[in-house]
Amino acid sequence: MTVTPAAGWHPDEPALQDYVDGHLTGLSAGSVEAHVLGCPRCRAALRTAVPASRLDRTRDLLEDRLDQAARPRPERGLARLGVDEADARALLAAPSLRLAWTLAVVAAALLGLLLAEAATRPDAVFLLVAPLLPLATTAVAFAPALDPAFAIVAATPYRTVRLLLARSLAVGLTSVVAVALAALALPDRDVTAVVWLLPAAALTLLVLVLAPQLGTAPAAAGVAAAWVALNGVLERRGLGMDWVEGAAAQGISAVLAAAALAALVHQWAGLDRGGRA
Amino acid sequence: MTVQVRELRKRFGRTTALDGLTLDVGPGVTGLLGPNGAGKTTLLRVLATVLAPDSGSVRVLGRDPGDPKERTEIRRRLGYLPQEVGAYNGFSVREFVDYVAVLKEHTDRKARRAEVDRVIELVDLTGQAYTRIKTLSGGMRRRLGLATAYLGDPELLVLDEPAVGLDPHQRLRFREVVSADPRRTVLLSTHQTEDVAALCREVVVVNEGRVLFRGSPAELAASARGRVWRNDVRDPGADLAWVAGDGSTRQIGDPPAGVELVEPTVEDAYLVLVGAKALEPAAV
Repeated sequence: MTVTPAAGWHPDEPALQDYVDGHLTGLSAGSVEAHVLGCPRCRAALRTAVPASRLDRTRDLLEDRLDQAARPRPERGLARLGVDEADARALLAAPSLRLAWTLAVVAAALLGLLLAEAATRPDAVFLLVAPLLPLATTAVAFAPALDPAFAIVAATPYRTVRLLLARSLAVGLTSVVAVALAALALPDRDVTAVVWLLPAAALTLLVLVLAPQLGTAPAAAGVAAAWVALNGVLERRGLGMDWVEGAAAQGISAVLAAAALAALVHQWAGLDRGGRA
Repeated sequence: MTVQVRELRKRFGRTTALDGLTLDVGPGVTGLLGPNGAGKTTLLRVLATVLAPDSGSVRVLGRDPGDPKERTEIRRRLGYLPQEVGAYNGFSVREFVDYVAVLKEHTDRKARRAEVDRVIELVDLTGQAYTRIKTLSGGMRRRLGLATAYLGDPELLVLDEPAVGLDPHQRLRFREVVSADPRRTVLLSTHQTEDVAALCREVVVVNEGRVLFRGSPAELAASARGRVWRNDVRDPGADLAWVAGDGSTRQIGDPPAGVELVEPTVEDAYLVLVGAKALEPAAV
């Protein structure tokens, strides 16, 4: 809004000071404000009348508000949940994370479609494929090569391994939810819908343990191939996929997952550098 | 000494990147010269604490990068520009620098804002502060990486080919910024011998994972005295020869008697050390 001041009229110094101090009200405040908006001379006079500290405070407040508004919604959501600013920013910044999430959703949707429409043995297909989904998406989130800024990020004091594991956890959990939704397409909602969880945890953690030595992609491909091969052998022996539901399979998976987790914690320090993509 | 490296070795599969490299680097600008594959990037990655060597000892800023706690201490006082500056395309310049500042423990919002603005101004990207990274040129991306390296005014800067893609004006500005504080230790790799001659207190020539020369640029140039000459035709003793702008042939190698020797430049001396070697058939 531009207000052309009446020719020759300017508020006097005490009036400007009263305006700055907030002592003017109603019509007088309105007319001084309208005049100041259109009058460079009075704006210049006001500039010296307002204490610098107050201007600084106002600017800081404004910039804080703008910063808050500029932060992406998921980051603000995490901040509200009490997640540290650096963690939230680091967790959500990488495009690899979005790629992993997209992969999780698309793969789970395809799995659901396959179970509902095409598979002759939906339970067996589900038990074979479901553990591979968190494995694949976690590998995508964990691979430094898929984070274009990783070389810069790795040299900061922020713990790299914490970053990679946080991303893996975020993606892994999302995949579990996506697969659980896909399980709704199973003809019978029985124990099949949950028994895949422990093998999935074991396979995924195994990939994370092997990734620094072998590289993330070879580790993920190797573990996935081993899983498919194991099931191929058991299928030939007539065990189908039902073995996954057995106490032995569940027990072995739990032990394997715990061992892999322990190994991962042990590797913690070494993972911070020198880890291969 | 800011950086002390002893008998450093690193292999990638069958390739030896560092072959018992030993080096000390102190305050001022030190230039790392060497052909592609000489081991420069591997050395800088080790010093930037993002790569563990196979063997040898490393001390950076008086600390051991092999120890997790000391490594974090080093990272607090280090600025690193990697060879490939990957950034998130969807971010603006300011958002990306702010992101790295958060990871570099600049937790106070007001101070961080001022620091982010300072480093963006330092690399002359203020006009592009709100530009998306995907629209930046290669040189601008390089400067963006340099801005993140300068966050927190680090004591040690490890810069992998910082001047690539910079136009002559930006190159001068880069020299000005990098040499501004003589107390800071800057270790930069480059292919540009003129950058080394103009900027560096010390130059280190690396080839095949080892140090071939360490000294001032003037000492490097002087090391090639008696090995550079000019003649009308290429002489049989020349390892390298090219026709200069004045029509004469500038030659490097073993000069024949009676030819006109010329004062060598840093580039001549670098070619004497590395260039001629590169032309030799590979040892079987």
